[in-house]
Order: sequence, then C-alpha cells, then structure tokens
Amino acid sequence: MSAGTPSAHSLTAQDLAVSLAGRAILSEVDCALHPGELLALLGPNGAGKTTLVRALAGLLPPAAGQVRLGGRDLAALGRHERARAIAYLPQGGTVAWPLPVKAVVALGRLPHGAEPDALAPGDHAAVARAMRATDIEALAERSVLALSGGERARVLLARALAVEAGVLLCDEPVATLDPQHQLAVMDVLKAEARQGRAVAVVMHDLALAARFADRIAILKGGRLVAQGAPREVLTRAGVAHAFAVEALVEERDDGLLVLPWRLPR
Amino acid sequence: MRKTTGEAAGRGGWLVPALVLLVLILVVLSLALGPVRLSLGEAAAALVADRGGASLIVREIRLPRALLAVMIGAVFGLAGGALQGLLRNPLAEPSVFGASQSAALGAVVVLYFGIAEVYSALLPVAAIAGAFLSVALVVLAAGPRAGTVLLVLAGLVISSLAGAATALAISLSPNPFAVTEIVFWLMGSLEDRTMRHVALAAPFAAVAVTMLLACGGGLRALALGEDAAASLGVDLRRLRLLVVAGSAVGVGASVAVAGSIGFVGLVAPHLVRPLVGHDPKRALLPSALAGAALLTAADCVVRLVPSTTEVKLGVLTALVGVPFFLWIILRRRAELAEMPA
Repeated sequence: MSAGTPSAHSLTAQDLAVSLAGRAILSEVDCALHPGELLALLGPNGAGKTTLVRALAGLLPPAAGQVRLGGRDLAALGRHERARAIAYLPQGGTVAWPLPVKAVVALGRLPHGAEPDALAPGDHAAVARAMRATDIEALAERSVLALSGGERARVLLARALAVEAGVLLCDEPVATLDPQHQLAVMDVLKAEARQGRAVAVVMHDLALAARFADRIAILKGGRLVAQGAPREVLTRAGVAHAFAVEALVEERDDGLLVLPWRLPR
Repeated sequence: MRKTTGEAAGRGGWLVPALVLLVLILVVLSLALGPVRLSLGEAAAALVADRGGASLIVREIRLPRALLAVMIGAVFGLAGGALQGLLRNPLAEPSVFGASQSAALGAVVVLYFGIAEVYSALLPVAAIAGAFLSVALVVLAAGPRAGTVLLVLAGLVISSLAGAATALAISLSPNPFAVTEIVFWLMGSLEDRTMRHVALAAPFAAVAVTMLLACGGGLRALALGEDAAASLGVDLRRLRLLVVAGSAVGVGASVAVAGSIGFVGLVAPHLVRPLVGHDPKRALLPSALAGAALLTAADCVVRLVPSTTEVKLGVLTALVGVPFFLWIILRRRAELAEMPA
C-alpha cells in the first residue's frame, strides 16, 4: 500500500430514497461501491445522479433507506469522521477568492485538523502527491481565479484527492476538460481505485465510462435501471433503453468502445 | 509538532504587529486632538501620569472616544470580513445589509418610549435585535449562492424599511427636542461619549469578536462552496448562526452607543485581504485591526475639519465608503455580472 492510502470501506445505499423540497428525486436505490473499484454513474440529465452522490457523501438526509459506510449508518457518523472517510468533488465547482492553487489544494487537509497555511509534514506530502497526480505542480503559486476552466477543474480534483479518504466521489470531473486531460484525469481516478480506494464518478461520456470503469450504474428517473460490468450494461440495447440513442459498440483488443451514434429512427 | 512553512510566516506575518502599532499611534493622536491641542508626547504623558487639567481632558473626554472608535471599528471590520466570507461576496457588509439602520430603529424605539432612561442596557439589546433581524433576513434571502444583485436588493429593501419606520417614529414624537437628538444621533458620532458608554458596549463587543474569530476555519473551507465545505466537515448551520449572531451583537452594541456608522466593514477587509493571500481566516484579525485604525483615523479627521459643529463620523465614513463600494463594483464588474442573481 503506498503512502497516504487509508483503509477503505464499502459505501452502500440500501433502498435509498431522497426528496428535495418535497419532490421525490431518488427512490429504491440499492447500490454498493467497493474498495479498489471505479464505478461510473451514468444517466440522462435530471436522472438524479448528483442527488445520489450527494446522498452517498452524507450531505443529503435520506427520506427512506440509508447509506452505510463499512456497515455503519452514515447519518450516525460524526461530521469530521465522515469528512476523513469520504472525499467529495462537487460539479462545476468555483473558488470564491483569488487563493493560490497550493492553498486551495491544502483545504483538502482540513478534515485532518490541518491549518492550510501551516501544514504538518504529513499534510504537506499529501498535498504534493495530489498536485503531482493531477499535473498542476507548475501552477502552485498561481491565483486559482486566473486559471483556465480545465486547469481549475484539475485543481479542484487535487483538492479532493488531498483528503486521501477511502472513498472518493466525483461529480462530472471531466466534463470541462480537453481530450488529453479527460484521459489524464480518468487515469488518475483509475490509479486511485487501484490503490485500494472506492471511487465513484458521475459522467456523461459513455466512451470514457466504457473504457475506464470497473462497474457501471445507470440512473433513470430517480431509479437504478442497470448495474454491472461495462460489457453487460453498455450493450446496444442497454444504451438504447437508458439514453434513447443508438450506439456503436465494439469489442477491441484493448478495451470496449461505446459511442453514441445517432437518434433512433 | 507542526512545522510552520516559511512562506506562511513571510506572507503577512508582520501585518498584525504593524496594524497594532498603527492603531496605538492613532489612539495617541486621537487623545491629542480637540479644542485643547496637545502634542503626542503630552497626550501620552497625561494618560499615564497625573498632569492636572490635561489628564482630566485626556482621561475623561478623549479616552472614551478613542476606546469606542477602536472597539467599534474592530467589530465592524471583523463583521464585514466574516460576512464577506460567509456569503462569498466582496460586497457583503453590515450597513449594506441594512443592519446599522435596523439597529438604529431598535434603538430609536427604545429611546422614543423613554425606556432607555430607566434601563440603559435595553438600548444595546434592542439595537442587537434590530441588527439580527436584518442580517438574518438578508442571509436567508440571499441563499447558498449569494448573488450580488440579490444581496444588494435585499439590503436596500431592509434599510429602506428600517429608515421609513425610524422616520415614522421621529415624526410621531411629541417632543421636538428629542427629535433633534435622535436625528443627530442617527448620523453616528463619538462626540461626548463617556466611560459609561464604553462599559455598556464592551461586553457585547467582546462576545461578538469571540464569536466571529471562531468562524475562521469554516470560512476558509467555504471558499469552495457550501457542498464542498460540508463534505470537509464544516457545520454550515452553526457557522451561519455564528456569523449572523456575532455580526448582529457587535453592530447592535456599536449603534447603541455611537449611532449609525457604515462602510468600515466593507473597506477594512478589502485593504488587508491581498496582504494575507486572500485567505478568509487569516484576513479576520487584520480586518478587525484595520477597521479599528480606519475608524480611529476617521474620528481624528472629523475633529480637524474646520466647522462650527463637528462633522458627524457616520457622515464621513459614508462619504468615503460609498465611492469605495462603487470602485469595487467597477473593478469586479465582469466577475460580478457572471454571478448568478
């Protein structure tokens, strides 16, 4: 186990239902996220993907069912314990002040009681690892508001990595990135999973999901409609049912190729 | 053992001592200024040793004034810094929220009914209640993504309402002398304050400063937005309550003894933020000190302007503060236009 990899636990949703402002967003969701795997959460717009990761992160109270972390009810966990165990990267995050990049990444050490402007050596090492993994070392002293959208997305991912939690939940971390950095970020997330973390990623890109995910879960209308290995879930029929598009599906030597191709005729 | 990185000490480590020194110098200057001019040395000497008439003037007349300026300036600077951090918006400030006007309304109601003469501690309590209502309303109305437009509009609505209610109380007042008193008091001044005023406001100011300084860690995480901050273990409800209640207690107590003084809380955090790497936590204490320095300096300036009656302190801070407010808007126009309303 490399430095900074904590003992990860499975994160499971059991019969989970979530309502926002009285409206049911999720119902009867059963899914599990295990250490060492990369789970891609897919689904059309408005399917409830963001709501599901927020609930998995312990930020939304379940209306029914529960989320369990290694057998313990997430709601019963203390805020700080939860923050050390689950790192969460919100969708399209912004930073309010022109903080230096390194200071933003260092915020990931807050759950460990660190003072971002006076980091202990262990915290320092975690920040350095996160910045190396996301290839932002050269930006360390730049103001986060002066960065391009793609650079900022990587800085915020580094902030989430710096928590070095056993569970990593990312909401659309590659949506704003160019192809090179999309692949680079997926490589980083895959590597985090290979180090023993449980990683869940909300995404829209079927090709990237098919290529990188160990497992795929598809949400539609607030319910899980499919769950399993990419080959089982991202079939022509599976994609047509979940997304109402026709896809090219091709088995290649180096992986599975899934490409949304046209609207059904 | 925590190892402090060199850059943290280098960046802004000198700032707090420098600001403390600046405040002390301004306090001595404030003790020297008045109808009886003293040199800085004479003023300092009259404060620490008995120098007859000079000591009487410095200790009884000018010291309360200087202490109040430091205290109120610090409270406003800190409240501004904390509110800007909470709402992630550089234009947040107690008086922009109508807090000063609402606190003044609370105080005027107490003054109007003559309760203050019977039970003086009720004055700050009523002012705090007014301030709390307005700040809580604006924070609630602004919501998690406090758009500038919404913030400013909510503040405008609340200060207009408080202003109208205050005007109503004044016009209903049967005693024309009391009306003049209230109107002058509303403009904000530290003239003729005594140690009794200091003692009235000090406990509230201490509570406010303690509450607001405790918010640093949460405000730091909040730079990433509410969801990310919550995922880092920040208790958002507690943080909001601390900032809102802390600001209200501080602003209410200040308005109760000095009338309505605005914009110190807007200007002070802006001056220090670049010097601390824009870190919301490290900006808090310097914001308080810069606020204290600004208000003490302003209270010196009003005594230097040649005029028959002294220029009101609240008038001066508004005259300087409003153009500053506009300058921030112009400088950040592109950025502010992007913010969701």
